[in-house]
Amino acid sequence: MWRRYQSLLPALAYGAWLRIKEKFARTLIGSGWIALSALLTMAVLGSIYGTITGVEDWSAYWIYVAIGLVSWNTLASCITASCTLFERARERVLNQPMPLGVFVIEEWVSISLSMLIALFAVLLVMGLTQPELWWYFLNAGWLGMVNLLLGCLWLSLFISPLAVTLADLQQLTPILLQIGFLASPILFYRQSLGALAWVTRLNPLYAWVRMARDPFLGHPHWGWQWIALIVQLGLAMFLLWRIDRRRMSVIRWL
Amino acid sequence: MPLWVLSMHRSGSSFLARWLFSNGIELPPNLLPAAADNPEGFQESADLIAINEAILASQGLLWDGTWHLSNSVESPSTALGVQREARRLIKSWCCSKAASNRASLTPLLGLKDPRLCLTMPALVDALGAEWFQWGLAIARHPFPVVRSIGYRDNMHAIKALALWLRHNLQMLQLAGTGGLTEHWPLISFERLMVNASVELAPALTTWRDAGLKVSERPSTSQRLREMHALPKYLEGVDTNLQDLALRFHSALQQAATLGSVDKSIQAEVKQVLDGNAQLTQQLLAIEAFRRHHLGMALAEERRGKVVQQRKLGETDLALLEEQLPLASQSSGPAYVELKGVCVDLRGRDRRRSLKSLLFRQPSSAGMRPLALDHLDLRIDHGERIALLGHNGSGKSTLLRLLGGIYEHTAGNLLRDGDPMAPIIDQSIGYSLELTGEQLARYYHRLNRYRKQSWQDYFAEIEAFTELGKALYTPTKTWSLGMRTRLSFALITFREVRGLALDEGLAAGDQWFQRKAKAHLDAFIDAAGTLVLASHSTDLLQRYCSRGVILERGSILYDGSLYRALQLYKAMA
Repeated sequence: MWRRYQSLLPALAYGAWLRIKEKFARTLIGSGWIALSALLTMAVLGSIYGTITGVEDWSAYWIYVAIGLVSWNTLASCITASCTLFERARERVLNQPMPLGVFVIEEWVSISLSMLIALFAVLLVMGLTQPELWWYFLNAGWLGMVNLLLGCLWLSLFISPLAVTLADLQQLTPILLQIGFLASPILFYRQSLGALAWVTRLNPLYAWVRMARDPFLGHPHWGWQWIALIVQLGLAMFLLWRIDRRRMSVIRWL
Repeated sequence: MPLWVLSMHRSGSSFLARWLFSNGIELPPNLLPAAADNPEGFQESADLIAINEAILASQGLLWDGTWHLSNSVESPSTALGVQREARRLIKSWCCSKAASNRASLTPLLGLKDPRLCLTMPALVDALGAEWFQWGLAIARHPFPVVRSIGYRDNMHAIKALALWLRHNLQMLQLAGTGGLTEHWPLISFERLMVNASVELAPALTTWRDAGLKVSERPSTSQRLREMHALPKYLEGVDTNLQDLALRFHSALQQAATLGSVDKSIQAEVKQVLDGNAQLTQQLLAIEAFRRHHLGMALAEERRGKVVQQRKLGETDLALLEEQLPLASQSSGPAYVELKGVCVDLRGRDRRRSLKSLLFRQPSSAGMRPLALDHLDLRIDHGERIALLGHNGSGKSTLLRLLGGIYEHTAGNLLRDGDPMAPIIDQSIGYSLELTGEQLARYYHRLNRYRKQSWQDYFAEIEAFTELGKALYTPTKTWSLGMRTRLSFALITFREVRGLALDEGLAAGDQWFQRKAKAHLDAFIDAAGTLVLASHSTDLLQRYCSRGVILERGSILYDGSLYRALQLYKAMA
């Protein structure tokens, strides 16, 4: 199975890049829109929520919001895309003899590329005033991002076959994601909720946001990061193997 | 000596041939078996049909083409080969008959096929005029012919009537002033049905007097068919065209020989068929509609929306054909062997919902049949298999199974090597926003990454498609023909071992089709083993030798392609 994936890797990576090209075809700045939208969202939402919650240390808050938004957006788009992934790829799934994991990985690579574009835009712009950001990224920030992306991969491998059989999932997911976004400390600090701070523990996806963001705030959590990396790697491998073992139980619903 | 029997389709030539046979005229070998539309047999040799089909194909004409053969596009190299084969076949038949009849009388060999009306000039070129001394023609009233062919081939009445006019006109072409077939008797179908002995007596006497072998006592054992009342008019056909056909039929009825048919009516028919713009446009519109309809049906089938619940009765099938145990004749490892294989796609029409999970609603899935139901099939290396079956019979499912897209849910599937390369859908599969060059680059990475450099690959694609700078523009700005050219090239510029192909491959405009044909032949040859699902008899005959008929996920027939096509036609 791994050899098959290896032989498909060049096409898979190029296919993912084509998806981004296709998405921004004929636009003036192409994939620059990913960077621009990340910076714009960060500037607008950060200013509003920072003012509402009475932020004192704005330089730390900008990092907090920027990396939080990049992480959450990556997770959210990955989960949303997973709910319709096989339906969208139906023609190819039914006409090309590729392992099902290829379609998931292609989508995941495409989302990962978008995330990297957004991240580097943030690092470039904010790095002008806060050069320590680059240090944080090179120190443990990359590991947090790898964990975030690995989380996206195994969540995609888990959700996409489930969403094919369970039609309600694609309706339910955007609602849960919206509630999760607004109820989690992404745009505001946890302390701002006061007695309601326990609510933030209800969103399991927030764990990935923390893993990706904390190293940029000076909390690398080395131990946890490496454990998460190994566990998630195993989980992704297992689900990749499983999705191809259960090929017909996915295809029969398409 | 050959005795040529000319007629339009559905004009009683099978009955005439049977009657001639009962009067001492011999028939060629390898006759078509009886079918639902002709239960007493066609009396046509499959070999002669194949020759005639090849002549038509070499000139770009179909059996139901309403245009003149000279308006077709000839392929000289192919035509020469076909003529050589025709000469060999006819001469071998006649020589063997002469050798087996040592009596002083020369035996006559009745050669009948409605296509002869169109192919006679080519056969005269191939054999020489001395082989066309004897023959006869039969003409039938146009209205029942139109109705019958419309029922059998789902042909529009205008087209069927034009076909009747064209065949009967072509039938007379070699009988021009002092022509080769001038003296051939012209038989009336209607009179033949009333009293065959009387109608054929002059012809039999002529042949007997010429020293040809004909029974002294004509047989009267042939059962005469009941004549149905003639339709008064044809619905949806211009009355002027109907009047012309009736006058032409009347002229044919009045003539005793091919050379004595009124020349003025022939000229009138020729003028209408070749020079009437309205009729030509109507025929083109009918053809365009037919193709559109076929395309829609195929698209529906590919989307899996059409499921026809029909099945040929087991008894009917047993009567029509016995299975040929071709598979068991082979030895050595099979390329693919299916033993009791099932593919279960039940439930795909109804996805689960929270409601059904929470309230445990009963599923209707159990009522639906399996997509493939306990299939036993052996495909040897290098075999060319035609897959026939109605929409929803399981053809695409089987192709997907052979191509590794589907997996079997029960039974055993053994493979000697990798799965076949499936080509189910010709679409490129990506957004039209992408350029041809980007798509080519993706396909290169998918299929040829380790075998050929990108520069060489792209140079080949560029040269073959001749799309030039258009390759660097988004495919959405291209015409359909340009997109088809690219998809054809991207699909076929690779090496595959074993091919599971659905409905052949489109290649774009006619000019490009010629170029693509040779490339497709080479691609299929290189693939070795082929399983081709199609409704096109021409396509299947071109590439396949074995035929498999599927019906509701089960194999109804597995044997020679020729017999499979006959059976499938009877099922329609």
